[in-house]
Amino acid sequence: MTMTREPRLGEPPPEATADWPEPPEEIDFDGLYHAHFRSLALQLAAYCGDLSQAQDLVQEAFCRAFARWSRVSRYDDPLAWVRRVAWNLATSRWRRLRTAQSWLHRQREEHVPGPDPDRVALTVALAKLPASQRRAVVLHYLADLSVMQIAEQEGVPEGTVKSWLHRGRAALAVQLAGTNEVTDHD
Amino acid sequence: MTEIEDLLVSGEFAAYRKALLPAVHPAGADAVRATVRHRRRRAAVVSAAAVVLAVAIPVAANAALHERSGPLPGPAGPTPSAVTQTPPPATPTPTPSSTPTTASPTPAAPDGRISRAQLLATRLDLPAWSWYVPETCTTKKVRLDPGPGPIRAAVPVLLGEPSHGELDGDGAAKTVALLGCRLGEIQAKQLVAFERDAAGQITALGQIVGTHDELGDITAFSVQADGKIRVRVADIQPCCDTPEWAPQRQWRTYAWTGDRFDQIAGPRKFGVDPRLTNLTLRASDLVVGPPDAEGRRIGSVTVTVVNKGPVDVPQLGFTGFYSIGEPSGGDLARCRAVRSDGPDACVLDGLPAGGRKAYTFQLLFDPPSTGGPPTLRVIHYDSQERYWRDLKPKDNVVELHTVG
Repeated sequence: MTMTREPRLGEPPPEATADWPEPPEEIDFDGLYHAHFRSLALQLAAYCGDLSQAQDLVQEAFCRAFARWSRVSRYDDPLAWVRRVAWNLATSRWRRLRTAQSWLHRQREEHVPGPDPDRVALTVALAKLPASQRRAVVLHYLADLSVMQIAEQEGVPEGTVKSWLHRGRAALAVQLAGTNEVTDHD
Repeated sequence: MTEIEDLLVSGEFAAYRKALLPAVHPAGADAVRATVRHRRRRAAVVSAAAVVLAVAIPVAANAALHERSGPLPGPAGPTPSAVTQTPPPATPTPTPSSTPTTASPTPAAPDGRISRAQLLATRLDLPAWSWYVPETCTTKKVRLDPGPGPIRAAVPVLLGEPSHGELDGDGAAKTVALLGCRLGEIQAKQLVAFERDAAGQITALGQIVGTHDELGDITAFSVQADGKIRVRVADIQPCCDTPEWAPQRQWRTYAWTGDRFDQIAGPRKFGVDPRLTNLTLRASDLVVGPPDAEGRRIGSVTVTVVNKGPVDVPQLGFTGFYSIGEPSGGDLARCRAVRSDGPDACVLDGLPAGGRKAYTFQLLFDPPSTGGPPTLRVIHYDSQERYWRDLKPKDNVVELHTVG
């Protein structure tokens, strides 16, 4: 009839927590953070073309991990959890921001050749890939994930990942070979 | 062509990594803690507000009971109701456990048999989710998403078909439904009982059980003839690289206890997973020999595994060789590669609880230029080549000290 009394019902019965045996040893949150923040941020920056947004997404993923650390730390691979949450956040934000981003990329191409053309060229080339191919390529080359691991993260068969990688790599190669300067423009 | 492409693309990514890495500035693990503390405080404030409301509820509940005790709604009954209301059961004489003040004959409670379509068509107030869910997992006037398939955002979803049964002794059927809301890569879930109020509106009677840190998943439920609810629960919800065999699963039984649902039967906790054991790994120095004519150097290391129990290990797996180089002999010559939670592992013999075994591994010494010292890890495999977590994972890994 009412739900206002429910918050205490969400908790386990007192005896359920009191006599928990010593939990399995947990891995160290700070260690995971320091070992992997930079690498995750680079991956997401390559994916969404914006380093500061990528850092926000990774920070948020670590917040979510820390909020349920007692559980996440018991997963076999807590890093995979953080990485997947970060990528999911990126995917949904990317969908919202894609229009703005592609505009931004055009701006960069036209007005900001920049001090580091290679980096911009790669970003521009990546932005032209379909999202699934871009994810696969970034996970392969920047996260060093195997085809099997990418397939697991993306929830698709390994053959699909191979095809994404193959096509993504070919498309990137064409664009990168043709542009040592940022002149490639639709 | 593909190889050239691969070289080109991987070179570009390497340059990208090198160029951008100095620009990454982690906000820090302390900032994570501060954010989470802040969110918890905010959640606590919301809960406190809910408690204040709960104090006010008995008054409203009393009023509602009086309303229920009023004249039975006739064909043109006095209760305004926009919702089509199924006629109440013919012979109800319930004794609501919290029945207070009325002396008039107790009328039938409204039928609370609600279909999936009706749940989806109504804006519902839900019990609170576990304390930390995205803000989009709302509880007020929620339109449930029908699922399944990819859900666009973290919004409350109606999972599967609701079940019906008489739960609280008032003679009217109630509806039990499993709800979910995306939480990172998993779903927060809660099993909720719904009923209809005197006006025919769908309201939540209460949460039967919800996921929390020690109860990570709700996968099935059934409403028994006696009104008790059996619920299939698990300690964790498999996600990401967690294999589907990892969760511990239990049936627990819940029932309405007068003012809320409580567990009345079944195990109350998961405890330490009885399928797990405690392996430890020690290693000698990694002795690297002199280069041969082609400049190749063989590294050799002896590892000792102890199974401290309590479970026998059908197969020991070893992984991490890539941090040293290609396997080239010793006990590695007779191992089989099987998948693990990371790179493939090399599986060798079993090791009963209390047992100890030593192996010598030889590898072509060629450690990758990036990444820390060479490390080896031992993994517990069962006879079906399923890998298992360790009770103390830290001592399953050794960093090798290289000499020679």
